Amino acid sequence: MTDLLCADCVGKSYRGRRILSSASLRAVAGEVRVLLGRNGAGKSTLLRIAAGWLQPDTGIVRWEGEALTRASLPALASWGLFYLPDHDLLSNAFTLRRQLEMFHKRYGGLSPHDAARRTGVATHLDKRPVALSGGELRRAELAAVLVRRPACLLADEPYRGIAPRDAEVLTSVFHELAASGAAIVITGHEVPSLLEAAHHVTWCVSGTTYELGTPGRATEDERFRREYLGRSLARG
Amino acid sequence: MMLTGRLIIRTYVGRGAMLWLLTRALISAVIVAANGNPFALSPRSAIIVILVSTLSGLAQSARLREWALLANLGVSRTEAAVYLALPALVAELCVAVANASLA
Repeated sequence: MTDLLCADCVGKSYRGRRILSSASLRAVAGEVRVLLGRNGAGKSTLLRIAAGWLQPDTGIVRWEGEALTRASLPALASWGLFYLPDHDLLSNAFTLRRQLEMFHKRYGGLSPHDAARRTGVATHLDKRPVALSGGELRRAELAAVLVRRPACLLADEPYRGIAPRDAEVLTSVFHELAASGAAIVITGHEVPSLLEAAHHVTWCVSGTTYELGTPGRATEDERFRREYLGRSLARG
Repeated sequence: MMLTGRLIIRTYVGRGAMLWLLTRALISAVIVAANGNPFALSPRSAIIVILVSTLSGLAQSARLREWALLANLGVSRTEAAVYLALPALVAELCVAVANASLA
């Protein structure tokens, strides 16, 4: 399997506090990978570094095997990456329609109307993001992903604060993108939704990462069960 | 990396023009109050006007939380700054040329 995007042996400190020591992240074509870990484990930082949104202190980011000395999101985005941050992807300066049109005119992909209909935000196309609820906003961002049709998607906490029905839409879109050959990495704490979406689980703990394999194998991992899932989820 | 859609360029150039107008109007008001000629700015003052309007545009983009959107569209902050600065640069050149030909 091909690594489309890879952040290797990444280290990062903030104000003297070590966030990541030797963490790695792989985005593999045709797979949905989930990055799990407790709050403050460094998941979002690792995702930002892989997306070129933040520069690492140590380590390297590779795109299609080519090492990038200084990865930047605008460059990676031009090559096929889409980074969905945990908030503020869409600007309040423009209507949803206008922002979807920007992606469509820049990259092609699904038409703004079709993408909005697919994610259930067609009636909100002429609103600005500030007028949308949290769940609607997440679905609007997903519409932008569909318009973009990225080769690689890094999504930070896409399931946060959304209704179970919306979570199903999200999962089906991730699977659809992966089936078309996209590499997807998502983070979050909504373990049932994330494990349902995942082909592969990576666990981020104490600034480093462990590849746990399929969701089935991950839930069998004793340390992962004890230190992350807890008793109730581990039983399920 | 000037492959950006016309929609973005139009938006940023338009915003840059509005901010230049605003900056120029404020500075002109101050110059007029001091009995000076608002059209006869020194090159250094003209550069300051361009810088102020461009930085205001960048601050506005940050306030409107546009960076993630722009970055995903392949637009870097440098490129956005160029679009914001362009109208101010052209307008200041036009003002300087017009002022020189009238003098």
